[in-house]
Amino acid sequence: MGQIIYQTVMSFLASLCFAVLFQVRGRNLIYAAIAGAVCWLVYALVGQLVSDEIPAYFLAAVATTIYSEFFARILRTPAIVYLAAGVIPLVPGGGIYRTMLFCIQGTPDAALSECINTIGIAGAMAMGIVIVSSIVRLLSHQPKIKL
Amino acid sequence: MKPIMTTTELLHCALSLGRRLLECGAEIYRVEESIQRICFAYGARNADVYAVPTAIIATIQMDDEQMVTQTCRIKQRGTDLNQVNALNALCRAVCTCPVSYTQFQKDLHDIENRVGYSTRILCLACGGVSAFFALLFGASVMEGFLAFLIGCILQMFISGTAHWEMHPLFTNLLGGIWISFAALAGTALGIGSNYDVIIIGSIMPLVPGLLMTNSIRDMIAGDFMSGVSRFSEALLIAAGIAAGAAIPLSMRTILLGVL
Repeated sequence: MGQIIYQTVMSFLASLCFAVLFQVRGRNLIYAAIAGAVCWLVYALVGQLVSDEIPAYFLAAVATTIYSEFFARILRTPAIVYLAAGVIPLVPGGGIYRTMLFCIQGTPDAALSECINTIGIAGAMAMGIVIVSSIVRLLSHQPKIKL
Repeated sequence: MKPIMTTTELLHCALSLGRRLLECGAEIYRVEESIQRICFAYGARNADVYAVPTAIIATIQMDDEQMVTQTCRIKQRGTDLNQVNALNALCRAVCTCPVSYTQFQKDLHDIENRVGYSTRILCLACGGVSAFFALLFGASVMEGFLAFLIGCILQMFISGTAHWEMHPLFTNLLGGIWISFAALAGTALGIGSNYDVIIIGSIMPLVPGLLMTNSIRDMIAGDFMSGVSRFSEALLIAAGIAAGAAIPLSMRTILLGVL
């Protein structure tokens, strides 16, 4: 549990720095950083329950998108301002690195499987984001339901 | 009632806003919808917009007039969410209360000329990204500090060469070389022992994760052209980083015979 809290704090700070690189300003910086913390917290908690990592990536993306769309409505900003920095902790940088490492070690089988896994992670994140934002768009275009 | 803008002026304004949105990394649907909404707010009868990450095509038709089409090529792409936010607010404001051509151009110009964060802050932020990701993936404090230095110098390099307009593949190649060289040199000097986490943390500012996620989002949403275009851009960048990082690692294998 202590490790999860440590990692959540780290991803909060990492998302904060990334939001600065994306030129996010003012109070939006804090909300973007919290999105990163939410993202890692869900990822780590689901990762403890399920052994496969793809569902954890999917659910973390779902939670981050719900968070971003919610605060986008409240603070009247595009959801991408929070979402972009929020999902950054999930980005499979390690996957790209290991793919390269297996390539130069001369093990193309391992490299290919790592590469497919990396694309699978990106796909799971994208599915999570798309499902939530499609539902939100569907609901907010109905005149009677106020979101 | 006399319209506030002529058809050409309206198209020019809407496309300038759309172009700026795309250059700042907004989603395709936001660009298309913004242009369409502005055109309808100024009384266009028809507005067809087609946007991909490298171009926008828009055709509008006012009442009893001929159709007018304008295209716009987009060459520079980055991420500036502050401007996306401001442009989105401008689009909303204009749609509820249309303004004149000169006012619209002035507002756009003001947003475009907003100053971003200074290079110093960007360097610190890039170092922070590298350090916190290294720590997140289990690095020790010293390794995190090394990743911070690598990230700061990486951003200095990126900011310093921004005006040369280098090919993104080349920038990422050089970035990858620097990161893995510095991580290997640092661990050789005794700062930390695990160069893997330092490299993974430090390449995070370069990794096109957002681009790859957005490309798959576009494809699922039905924008296949932009999906494929962004996916190839992401693959190219990732290949550049990986190839760059591989060079010092293989050199080390050749020189020392270990990996």
